[in-house]
Amino acid sequence: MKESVLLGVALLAGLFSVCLPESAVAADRLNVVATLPSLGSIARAVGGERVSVAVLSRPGQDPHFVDPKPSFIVKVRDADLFILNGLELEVGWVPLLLEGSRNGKIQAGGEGYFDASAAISPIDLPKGQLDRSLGDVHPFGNPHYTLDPLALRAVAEALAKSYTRLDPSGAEVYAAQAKAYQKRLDIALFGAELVDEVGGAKLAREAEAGRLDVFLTDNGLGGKLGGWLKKMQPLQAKPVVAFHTNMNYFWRRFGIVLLATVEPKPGIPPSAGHVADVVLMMRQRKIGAVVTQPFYDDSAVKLIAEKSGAKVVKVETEGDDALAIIDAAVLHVADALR
Amino acid sequence: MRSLLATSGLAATFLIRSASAEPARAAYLDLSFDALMAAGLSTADDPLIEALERGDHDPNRRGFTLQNFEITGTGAVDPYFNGEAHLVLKLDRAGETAIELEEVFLATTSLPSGLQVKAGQMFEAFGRQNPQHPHAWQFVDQTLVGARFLGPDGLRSLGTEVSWLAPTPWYFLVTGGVFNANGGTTYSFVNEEEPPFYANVEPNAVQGLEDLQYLARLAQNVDFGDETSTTLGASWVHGPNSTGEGATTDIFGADLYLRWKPVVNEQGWPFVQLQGEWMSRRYTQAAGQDEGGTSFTDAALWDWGYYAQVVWGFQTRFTAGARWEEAGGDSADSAPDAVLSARRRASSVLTYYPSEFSKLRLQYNLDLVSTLAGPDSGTNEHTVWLQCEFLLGKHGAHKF
Repeated sequence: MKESVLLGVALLAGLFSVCLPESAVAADRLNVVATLPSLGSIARAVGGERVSVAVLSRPGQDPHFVDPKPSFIVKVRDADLFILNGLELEVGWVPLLLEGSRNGKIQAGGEGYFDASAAISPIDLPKGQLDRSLGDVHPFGNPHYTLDPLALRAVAEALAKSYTRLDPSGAEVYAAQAKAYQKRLDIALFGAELVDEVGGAKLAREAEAGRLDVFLTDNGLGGKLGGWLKKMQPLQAKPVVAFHTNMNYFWRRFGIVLLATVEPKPGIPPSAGHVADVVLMMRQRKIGAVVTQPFYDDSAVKLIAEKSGAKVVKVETEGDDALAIIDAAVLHVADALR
Repeated sequence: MRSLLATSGLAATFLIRSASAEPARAAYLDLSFDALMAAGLSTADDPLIEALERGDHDPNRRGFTLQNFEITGTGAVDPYFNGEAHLVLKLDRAGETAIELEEVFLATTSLPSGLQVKAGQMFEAFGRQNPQHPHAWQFVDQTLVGARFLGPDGLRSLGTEVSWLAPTPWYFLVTGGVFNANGGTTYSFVNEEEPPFYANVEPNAVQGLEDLQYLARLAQNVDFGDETSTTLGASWVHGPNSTGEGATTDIFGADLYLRWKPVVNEQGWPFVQLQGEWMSRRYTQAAGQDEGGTSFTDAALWDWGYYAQVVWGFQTRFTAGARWEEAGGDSADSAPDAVLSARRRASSVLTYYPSEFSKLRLQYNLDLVSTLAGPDSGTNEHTVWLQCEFLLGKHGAHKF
């Protein structure tokens, strides 16, 4: 008995004699962990010097399919604030991280739990009976809102409030930094001239309510529109085909019409019959582009492009700078649909 | 500019339904069903298949086996505990339904200092595969060494486990547990139902701390870049066994898990995972007689076994794998029968996942049974299993 205990202890000690690396966490900053790079970029912009931000998934990675690696658990363990996209985008990996972290502060409902989707108005809410024969339908709405500048605008504002609850002495800094970030978004979306004249908040409200063009026309401001909306103006009502439903907020924001997806149902790989239907429709409607992401298999997309004469456009949906990602998406889509 | 409004409106009615606020949703109990079924052909006859496939939920006959129908309920009990229960039904060889309460436990959610306490009936945190339910395995059947040391049903018992996530910059989890040492699911301990050797003590007689079973585990994980992650673990479990007063069992284990997956992957593919576990069991045998009247003297039997497997997700929704296993030691030499004989087995497997909620699996086992005792000695056995699984209900996140 004794010798077996000793043997056990020796075995365990031997296997785990790993030297301690230095801790990377700055003590006086709020420790923030974000699931997506784009949310991490907002967290940095709003938090500035008062926060230290770690991001779990990587640019270019499909956010549905991220491994809940133990190294992520360690990051979440040390978090004061956990920022997630929500709407069940991360349902396959975040619950295990939260549970495994043993961090009471950042559990759902806690002060350190920031579900960014609570700040936005979800679209694509399914109606009627929902089951898995319909594919991977997100029951609480489409979770892919990070390509919508107005959604990010709302997230930045909510985040400043969350930071303030955890770090009240930084209230003014957070509010100012959120405002500055919103201004960058506003200028990028509406153009500097219009933002200077009307104010970003007013423009955002009108755009969210779908009244922007009426407002601009009524006030004789149509000529002052700039930014992404100006760039996308020639593409109004243009039809497009996409691989997945992960750019619907983007299509809606810029008035582009998604006519079909290459996936017959969300998350279900395209069948030959469905591909043939899409090709036929694209020819009839003269659709110039089929949009996909680099992490999706592009064999069906290439086939469709070849048969229909359309262009394949690969758009990144995530990156270390949310604004740069939207900017690139606008550029690519405008270029392809022109 | 009118067109912006008009087309936005069109898009809204055509594809998009917007809602202003998300309603609250209740999730008091998440319920799910998981069914695992298999069909097989083998050169071995049914009694031999039963000796070769030692896991209680392994396919165990020519023809069809309902391996496992698992009903799982999970949820937050209150702000302090999560609750989890797994009820397993299976059809035995006679077609009768057998039920087992596989797991039912509480786990704390709000202890400070990285601590968590679990209490109830649970898979003990020994090694990598033991705490996994059969539908999470990469092969149709249990490992030779797992079934032999931890038991056909895995090492499961009623007790409590405390784990501590150390405040280290890398993942380092320390687990300790105390459990009842008796019953069919503490196979190498006080187990009078189907003991590995013989049973000579009354179960349920806890007279002191030495009558309980103790578990310790250390696990740590290190990433090599964004794409490779390695988990290394060591486990030890100690407790009394059923051969007599003062007779004890120790099982030592070391496990390694390595996973590679590129950052840009399609629905989780491609990937490669390597997994291996080595175990050693020291079984002290008190002098006594088995049911057949054979006498045993005091002895300490050292047995060992291991498996090493590789699974390659070579194409989206497909995986291919290979596994090599061996088990042997003193008990194989001293009291060889079909169950205790030295064993070697090679397996290959191909799995297709139509979605995250179903799978089809084809496995080939080559059992090298030249050392197997009895009339079947000397021939190798070939077996092919076809397995299918479906899952209904909430899809729990996969443990890494």
